[in-house]
Amino acid sequence: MMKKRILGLATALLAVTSVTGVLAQDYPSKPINLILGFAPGGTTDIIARLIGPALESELGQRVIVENRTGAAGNVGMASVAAAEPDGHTLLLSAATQIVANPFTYASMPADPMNDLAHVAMVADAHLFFATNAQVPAANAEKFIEMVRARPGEINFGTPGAGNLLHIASELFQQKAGLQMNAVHYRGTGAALPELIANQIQMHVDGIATFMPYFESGDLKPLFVVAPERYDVLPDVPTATEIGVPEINVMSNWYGLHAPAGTPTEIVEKLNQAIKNALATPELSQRWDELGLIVVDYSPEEFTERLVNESNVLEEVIATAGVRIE
Amino acid sequence: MTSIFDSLIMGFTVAITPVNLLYALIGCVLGTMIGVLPGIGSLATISMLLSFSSQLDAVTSLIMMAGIFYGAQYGSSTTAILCNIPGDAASVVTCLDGHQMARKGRAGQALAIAALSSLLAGIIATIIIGLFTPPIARFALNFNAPEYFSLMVLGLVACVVFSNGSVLNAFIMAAFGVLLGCIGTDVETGAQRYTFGVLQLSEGITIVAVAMGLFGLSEIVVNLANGNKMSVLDLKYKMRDLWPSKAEFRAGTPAALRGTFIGALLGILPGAGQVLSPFASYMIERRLSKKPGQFGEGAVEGLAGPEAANNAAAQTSFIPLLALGIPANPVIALMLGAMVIQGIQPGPNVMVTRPEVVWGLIASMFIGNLMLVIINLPMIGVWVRLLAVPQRILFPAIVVFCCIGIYTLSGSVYDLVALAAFAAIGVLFYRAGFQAIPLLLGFILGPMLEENLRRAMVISQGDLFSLFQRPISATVLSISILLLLMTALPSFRKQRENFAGSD
Repeated sequence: MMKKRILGLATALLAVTSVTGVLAQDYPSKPINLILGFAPGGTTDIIARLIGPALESELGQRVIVENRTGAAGNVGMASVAAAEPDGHTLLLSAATQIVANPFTYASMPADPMNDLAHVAMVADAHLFFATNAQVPAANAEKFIEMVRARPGEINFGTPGAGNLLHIASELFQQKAGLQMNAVHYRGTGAALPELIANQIQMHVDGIATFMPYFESGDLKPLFVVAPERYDVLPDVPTATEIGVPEINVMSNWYGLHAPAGTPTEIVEKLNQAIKNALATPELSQRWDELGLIVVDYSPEEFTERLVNESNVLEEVIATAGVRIE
Repeated sequence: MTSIFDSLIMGFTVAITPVNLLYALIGCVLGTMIGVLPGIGSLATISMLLSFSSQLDAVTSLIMMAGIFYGAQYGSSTTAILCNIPGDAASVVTCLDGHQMARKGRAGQALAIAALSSLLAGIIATIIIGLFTPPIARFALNFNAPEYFSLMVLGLVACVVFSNGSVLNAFIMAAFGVLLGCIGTDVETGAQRYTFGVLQLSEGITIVAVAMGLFGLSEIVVNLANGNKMSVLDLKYKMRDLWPSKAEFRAGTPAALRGTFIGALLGILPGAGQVLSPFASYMIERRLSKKPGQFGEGAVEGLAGPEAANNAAAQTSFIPLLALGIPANPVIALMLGAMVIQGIQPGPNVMVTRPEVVWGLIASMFIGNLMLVIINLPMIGVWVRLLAVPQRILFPAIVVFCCIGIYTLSGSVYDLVALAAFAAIGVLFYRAGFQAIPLLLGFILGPMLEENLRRAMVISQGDLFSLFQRPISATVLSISILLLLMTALPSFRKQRENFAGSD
């Protein structure tokens, strides 16, 4: 009886220390699960597989990448939100999971804004708006004129209804006062041939996706959503230049998140680890090749950015009437 | 501009290095192994190997992955022929006549025919890839939403018209399959269909559970109920006794050539082609055959044609990737991801910018196909012995392997429930005389038909007539209508009933 009680006390003590006393200097004390909500082979997966080993060498613990797919990333996101807030279960997110899904989905398994602690932006990608090379409009202004003259006749593609890239196109057409039809595909890979075949006339994605087709002359860029013009394509105007600065709040970013309630020291430590990893020549070269940008946010700055972005997206999504039951 | 011959030589110098040969072999062996095990497919295997392969040289890792991809198809034919368990939708067709051959004591011949047909198809399809990749890929761009819709319509009409039972029976099954295919989240609106609030159904039912349940497990139950026995195999066979006869070669070769042609053509169409090709080949072979009644009873053409079609389509499905950077199926999408991890961005120029990768991969396909036959032909003797295992041990083992395979795909118990449910449905269908093939085709084609129709309608602003204004779409739809009209004609109906009634 006595023995049992002591054992119980010891377990209780152990439990207390493991919840409150996850000492940041001991962290990480066991392998880290890096969860992502999408299938192997996609951009989020590629980033996870590159950042995972880099984190491993920064933190000195195994980092295990795990794909938990389903419901446009909601399944993976919710599983991290519900995990022990000790920094050993982390989410590598795509922007759409955090700032778009809460407004497109009628019901969410968790609230990504408040149930997660936002650690760092792992990668950022400027959005490029591209069109088919045969489309007569020579540049973005001409494209907008053309679409205005033919309301309801021009189509744009999306990698799935409610995806961040769908919302970006909706935001563009709301602010430019255009009327185009959204055609939904299962991923950008399925939409690309239709764009090359001029079945759809506009699509949004990162530069890495489009560059080979710009070079081959199948597609042409319309504009880039970035503070400045992209140095490889200096003739392509920015969103601000063509009169839709509102889109600037959006980009195709990828982030690192922990469950809400994770000790601040651990969040800081992870933020620093990401910063160090991205500064290594190896990763910064890979990021360059993938058309990804390093944005140095503190956890507070990252959280603030997410709040701003999701406020804008909430309104865009409500106006466009995008709703996933 | 270098000639294709020079490019191929360069490709072989890449593919024939000891390291690349070794990884081609590893890929082929691994692929064959996971193919033989039901359920675990190349998709799951390559995903698991993604981290490992990114440490290899780009071309080496692609050669290994491609080896796994087509090795798995070889392997799944083996399980289909010996155990009547389709590892994926495509090998369902292999079960039909391949397993019947095995039941009649010609398992060795069936395995050899499958391997040789695949080799023939693999070699021809790889030559096609080497010679025509860019123009073919450009041609495939003419297939857009309306064309895909029309192709799906033709697929469904043909499977109903050419089924070997009553048209009404086949139509009901196809319609039921389309409804089953609707289960899950609607791509356009996100609406939940037929999920009854069950979260696990929101991703739909996995095709593997449907195919395995309807064709594999239900067969086991039926066999046990009927007390059927496999013809007992004489274990004192010689290797020569497993080799196909001259008559079998004569029947199989033209079928395999036709299958290669059909498969190579359909394989270039992203999404639909590879699954459709064995079914298309089977229907055509049965139509051309002088003894259509033998189909489903162990017809050599019914095995050789679809096996060739499947393998040819698997090879040519690389064409959109190599020429345009477009993945034709989930496995190739994974390989595209692997290329990106390696710092290669696939696109229209990848053949120019990274010729050693593209041609090395193409050359390795020749080598891989040869390797597979060399590995597999001597193995036939071993596989055939599997049939000597008593049913009371073999059957439970098959069920266990199926369950493990399905579970590893998703880690979801619901998929096991689905497997059991479709096994039960399969038994009911057998008892009631319903055909499961139209159901499976409906399940595969239905969702693609719907998605593409909706895309076509958005793009044409709701003009239904636009489907007839595009040449390819109009032709395919006309053929479908013609087939339907033929079914109504008394003379055709009589002929159809004749061969339907003869089995």
